[in-house]
Amino acid sequence: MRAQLLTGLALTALALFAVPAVLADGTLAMLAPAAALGLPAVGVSVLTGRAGLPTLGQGAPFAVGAYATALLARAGLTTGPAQLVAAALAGALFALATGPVVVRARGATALMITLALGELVATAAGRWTSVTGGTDGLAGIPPVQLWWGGSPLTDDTALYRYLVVVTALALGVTVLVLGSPLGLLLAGSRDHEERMRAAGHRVGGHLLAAYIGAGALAGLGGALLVTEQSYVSPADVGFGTSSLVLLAAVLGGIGSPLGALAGTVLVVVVRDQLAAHWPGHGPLLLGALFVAAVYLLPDGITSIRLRRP
Amino acid sequence: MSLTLSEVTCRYGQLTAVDRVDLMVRDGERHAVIGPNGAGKSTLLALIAGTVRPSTGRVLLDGRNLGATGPARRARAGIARTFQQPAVAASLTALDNVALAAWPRADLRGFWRPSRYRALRAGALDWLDRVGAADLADRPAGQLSHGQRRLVELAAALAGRPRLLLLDEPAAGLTDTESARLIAVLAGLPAEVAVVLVEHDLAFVGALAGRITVLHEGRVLAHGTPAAVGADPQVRSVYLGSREL
Repeated sequence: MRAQLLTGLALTALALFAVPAVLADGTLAMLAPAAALGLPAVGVSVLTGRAGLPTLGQGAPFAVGAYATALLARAGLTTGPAQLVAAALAGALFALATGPVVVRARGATALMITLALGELVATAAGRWTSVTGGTDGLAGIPPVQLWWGGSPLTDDTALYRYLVVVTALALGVTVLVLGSPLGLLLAGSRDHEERMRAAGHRVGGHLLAAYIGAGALAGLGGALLVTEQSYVSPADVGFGTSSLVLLAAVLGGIGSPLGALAGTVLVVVVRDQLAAHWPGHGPLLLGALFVAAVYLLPDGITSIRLRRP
Repeated sequence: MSLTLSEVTCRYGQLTAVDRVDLMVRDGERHAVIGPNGAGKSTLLALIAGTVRPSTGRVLLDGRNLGATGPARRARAGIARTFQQPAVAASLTALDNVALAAWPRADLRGFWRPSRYRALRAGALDWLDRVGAADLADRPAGQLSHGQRRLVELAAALAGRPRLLLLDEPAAGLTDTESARLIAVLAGLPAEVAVVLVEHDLAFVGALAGRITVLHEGRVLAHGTPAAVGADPQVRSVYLGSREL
């Protein structure tokens, strides 16, 4: 785990300083969506790979975090840390409220329940016009401040660094938790749930904790989305997002948080950059990427160990 | 700890797997449950462990009705078990398997303190050593042979310091050496630990059991000391044949 953290630190430093030195500001802005989608992908990776609870609905806590941030920012709360805490809490609370239903299910049933939850939230975001602005979304969100009384982050490079730092911190916490005995407990529950119960472990409670953690990560991602694009609409948080983060987690080798982040960068680059040269074919490219990943990176796929039904 | 089953019946649809069974296991008793295949032995263990609920009747632990208490809570109350197919977490090492199993009943709990988990692992290594599997400690449990998994699973069950230990065919698939080691480990358990053992290997049963219950088609056919049960003509005709207990 120490090696993992050191690698993470090195990559963070690289992303903080080397990348902006090489890439122009405009190109940096194109990487930004990867920061927003990266954390939900990390959550999916933990849930599916480590806890054995497949999910297709992380767009839901992502939406909750994003709208919470947008509403708070419009109400005048533009301090970064406060926004992040609020968004993580909102995502976690959403997971706490929906978790008891989700953690009872396994395998394909869990996929269907989380899919339904994701769609419900996206639909609610589209209909609840008085709060969410309906399908028009919420625009005019003021830029974030690094600290209380700080100046707004408007510069692309500064914004990019903010996204990198938040993502790296959240990823670091995730890796630490997974490296603790709690991570072993989740793996044990995934491998043999009945064994863990027979030893006296509250398997449902551990799964709920993992689901809440993934919800908090997705909520944080939602905050980063709002920070990065100063706008949020139901199109940002629907099934497309949920499946994209699952694709990213699969590409990264499911169960590996850092891999999920790398997968997200790949997915975002394919979707936004390659597809720009071939308008309208983004989904086709992503589909091809997915098929290629399934055949060429079998480790990314076969290490999905779904729970026994 | 004393375990009492009173008039316990378990039906799966039309099939009555366990039919009005009474069973009494006293503190420190080594109790074997034997009988032909399909007699309801594994269901009986599942009823005690809490993974199956009785259709009628009661399971009492120290005189308290366990009712709908789930397997995890029963485990925390001191009931440990092994499964017919040795159950291990395949991606974790043998040592982590045992340490995780010791966790819920350990005095030194705490999620976040690595030092506490290290203490748990030290104890787990001791248990692996006792069952003769210390050399497997760092191997992923998924890579172990059937017999090795069984030893790891037994170490896991013992590491929780149970008051009642349920063993479902522990000798099945073991080599003679492993089986002898198992008998030695079980014979060396603290005297107050009660054991309920389901087993076909009569030599194994004879070496351990102080009392025996014979199940046949879900019902208790006979119970008593090994000598009494072995001499029972009904038991001879349905199960033992010419074999000796």
